[in-house]
Amino acid sequence: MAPSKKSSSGESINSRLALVMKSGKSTLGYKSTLKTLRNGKAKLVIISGNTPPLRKSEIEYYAMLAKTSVHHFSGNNVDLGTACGKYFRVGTLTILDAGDSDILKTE
Amino acid sequence: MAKFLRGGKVVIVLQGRYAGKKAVIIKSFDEGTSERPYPHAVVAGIETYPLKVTKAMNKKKVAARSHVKPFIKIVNYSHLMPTRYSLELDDIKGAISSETFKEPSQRLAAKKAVRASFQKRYTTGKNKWFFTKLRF
Repeated sequence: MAPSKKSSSGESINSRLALVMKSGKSTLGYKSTLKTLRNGKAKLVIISGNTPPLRKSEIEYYAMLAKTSVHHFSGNNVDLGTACGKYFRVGTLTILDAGDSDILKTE
Repeated sequence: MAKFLRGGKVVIVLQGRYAGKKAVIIKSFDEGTSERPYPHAVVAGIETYPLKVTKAMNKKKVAARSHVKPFIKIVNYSHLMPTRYSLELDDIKGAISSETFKEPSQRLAAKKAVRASFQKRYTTGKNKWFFTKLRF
């Protein structure tokens, strides 16, 4: 029987992010996400819950042009920074290479 | 995961004298060059948009209000906002290259070619969005 999908996917995104930070490649920050979106290297963009709506829609537009998926993280930039294992706030991040994580397959 | 800043893409210039003006990418340098070690593009844009014309105006007035003043510039990618629109222009692709920016006379000649091309495209009524001023 196939295992049932986790209902609390807020937790699983955190664990997947931790695995990406350990084994994969990512960039943190607004400027670098725009850069990676422009050169086509971004695979997934994660935006925190409290980014200003103008910046959020700008990143979504870039991702639409680049045909890259966007994940809206349920939590603010403080939580996203903690999820990445950093001691600073992270408003936007891009995943370039998932490594061992399956974050790109479930998105 | 797809590169979208390529030739024919309509962009909005964000910084400088031409901030807020629409432009079309002629040639893009994703890796940069030795003189400009950053990703940049050669763009041709509209400096002064054609004014609105109505049915009540006579031919001379319409012709005067339909003038398009172009500009050509080499711009850093981070000073451009890409849009979903594109403008395919084959006749100016050869007129502008990074060589044209070395001599002022070459710049004038290139601008003349761009002006003719834009004017022709405007009078056909296609790509209307490109020739309307962005209100902000």
